[in-house]
Order: sequence, then C-alpha cells, then structure tokens
Amino acid sequence: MSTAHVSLTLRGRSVNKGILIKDGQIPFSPNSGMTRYDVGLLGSSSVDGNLDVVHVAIVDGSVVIAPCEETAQRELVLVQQYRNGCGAKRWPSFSVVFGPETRELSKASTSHGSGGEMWSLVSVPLGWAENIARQFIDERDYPGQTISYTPDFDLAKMESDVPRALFIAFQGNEESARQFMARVAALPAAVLDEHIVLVCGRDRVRRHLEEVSGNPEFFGGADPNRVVGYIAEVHFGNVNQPSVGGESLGTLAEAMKKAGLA
Amino acid sequence: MKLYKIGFPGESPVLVELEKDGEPLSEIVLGERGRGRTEKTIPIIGDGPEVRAKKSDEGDIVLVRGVYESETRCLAIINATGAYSKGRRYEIHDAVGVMEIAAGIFAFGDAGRCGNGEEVLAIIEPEAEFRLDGKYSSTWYAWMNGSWRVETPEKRQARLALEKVSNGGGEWL
Repeated sequence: MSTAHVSLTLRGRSVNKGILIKDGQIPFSPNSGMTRYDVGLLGSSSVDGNLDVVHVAIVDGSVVIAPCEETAQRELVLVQQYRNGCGAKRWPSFSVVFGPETRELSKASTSHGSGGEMWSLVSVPLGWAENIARQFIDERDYPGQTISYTPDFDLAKMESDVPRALFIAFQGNEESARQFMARVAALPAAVLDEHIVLVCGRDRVRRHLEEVSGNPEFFGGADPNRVVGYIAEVHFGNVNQPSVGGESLGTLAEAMKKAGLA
Repeated sequence: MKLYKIGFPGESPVLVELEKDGEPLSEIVLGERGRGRTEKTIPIIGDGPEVRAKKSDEGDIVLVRGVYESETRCLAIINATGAYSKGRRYEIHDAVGVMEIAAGIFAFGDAGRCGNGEEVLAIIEPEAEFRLDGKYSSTWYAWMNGSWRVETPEKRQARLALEKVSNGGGEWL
C-alpha cells in the first residue's frame, strides 16, 4: 500500500505547488554556485510536467515518482537550501534541519562558485513546508537561518509585542529590541529634530540620536535606517516624511523648496 | 565494422571517415610520441566501406577494409585521457563488452611524469557499456542496436530506476 504525497517546492519563504519534471528528471538548476561535477539525481519520472500529487518509490537508492489522484497523506517536498552568491550576499542563507519527522530521499548540490545550493527531496508530514517557510525571515542584512520544524511556531510569534521592524533590525534578538524600545521611550521628545530623524542620512541620524540620548550605544548595533521609522512612530506619531500640501518631499525637493526653486 | 572515435571524455562518438580528401585513410595513430608516452600506429589495408581488426602472426593489429554488413559490433578509438586534472585516473571505467586490442599512451609534463592515460582501439560488443571520467564530470557510453547512447550519470541512474520500477521493483513509500 503506497502513500499519496502532495508535492511541493520549498525555497526560503516560498512554497509552490508541484515539483517540476523535465526530461524524465527533477532538474537541478541552482541560482548560486557552480555544478562542475556530477551533482546527484533528485528523482525521476516517466511523466514530464508539474506533478501535484504523487506516489513515491525507492529503487537502489534512486527516487521514482508517479502521478496519482488520491488524497494526500504526506508531503513530498523539494527543499532548495541556499547560500547566496555574489551580488546577493547581504540576503540570508536558507537551510533546514531534517528532524525525525523527515525522511530524506535524495539530494543534489553545487560544487564550486560563489554561494552554493543543496536541494533535497524529503517525505514529511502535511503542513511541514508551510511551517518552515513561515519561520524564515528573508530580509536584507538579516543573518542566515537554519530552521527546524516547529508545529507551534505561529502561536509563539503572535504573542510577541516587539514590532517586526525592530525584530528584524536586531536580527531576531528580542531582548535587544526591547532594550532599544525603552531607550526610545526615554528620549526627550522636545529636543528631537524631526527633519534630521526623518529626512537626513544614516550618519547624521546616528549622531543626532546618540547626542540627544547621551548614549553612544543608543542603536545597540542596529542600522539607524531600519529603526528610524519606529522612533518616528513613537515621537512624531507617523512614519512619513515631512509633507507640504499633502505631498511627500525628498531631501532634494525640500532643499529646492527652501531655496524658492520649487 | 564501423570505426568510431571518442576524442576526449564527454565527447559523443564520431564516425571515422575512411576516406580523406579522396584518398583512403592508410593508418590510425593512438597515443603520442615522447618521453613517458607511447605512440602506436595501426595500418589500414584493403578496400571497402568498413573495417575489421586482424592480428598478424607477429601479434600486431591491422585493420582490413571490406563489406561486413552482418557485423553487430563496432570498433572504437577511445581517448580516456582528455585534459590534465590532478588525481584523476585516465582510463576506461566499469567496462562491459569492451575488448581492447591496441593502446597508445598520452602523458603530461615534459618527462611524462605528471600523470598519463591511455587511448585504446577496442572492439565494442552489442550492449557494451563503459564510463569515462573527465575533469569535471563523468559520461556513460553504451553501444545499443547499432548506435551510441551517451548519458550523464544522473540520466543513466534515472533511466535504470524507471526501468526497475516499471518491472515491479523498488519499495513504494
């Protein structure tokens, strides 16, 4: 008796229905790294196309999948783990821990080049791929993540009172984010320069807020540009740039306005 | 028998023309000349569109032209050496149905001490199969029903797995 699997492709936060079969194989086509050497076979099928629900067979270590039309009881997930290469290295890497709920069937990987990818075909319980995808934070400058299947993940995150922007700015460190929130609340609002906070560049914002707070570690390692929106929300009640006549102005536009050129 | 040549690991077999510029091909050369190397010349005699290999009384191989329509085998010049790559074994791997009848040697380095490999003339039986390893990848060759099948290891593994499952083999999850 074989188990029907719903097939999914998981890459970072993205979960797509189906696994692509091309020329009788699951093609290995990484975005990062090079495939100089024999990469490994992920799986084969006698039918080309995007297969949604399948039966899975193992023969001499190789995976064969066949389409079916039954109700799926498990997931067959093509997990595309990656380390970004040249041009995208500030974006987080994505890797997954295959726990006891997982049966790893096959894998293929890059061998050289900038960045790298390892794709695995796994048989897992229903809801596994979506659970992994929801945990992944795909924000620039956020560190790479190795994610485990955590069935109660969503509940834990919903209870957090840390704004998501701060959570990301402090790279998932809620304690640092809370300390920053306390420092922001203690800022003397009357001394804050709205123009500098909302319009000026990163360095001037940093100098102004460190001066006003009297704390050279005011930002606690976070990028000022990533947390300035939170400061504006607390002290100015908005996150928009100063506006005239309802229209938002950039730095150059505002300078031209002051000079009477616009 | 038709005569094919695999010029380097990964190359598809090419049919060797037995006539060059209107002149019949008089010999084939295996390997290269020099220190640590061996060059082997195989003469081609007779007349006809195909060749068969014959061993002389002295043990040398000669290719004899003729018409051999009933022949299901073929001859192949197989260069298993290709380009230099450190630590690679320049040879034919996992061969089944391949009978080597003559060989020359290619080598790397002026004195031929940076590795060497063979170029062979072989009789290929029907359904013969072998693998050549190149610098970056491997390639499987099979002589099937009068034509060559050239596959990557992954393609071959996929085909074999599909064949076994269609014959009732394997374990269904």
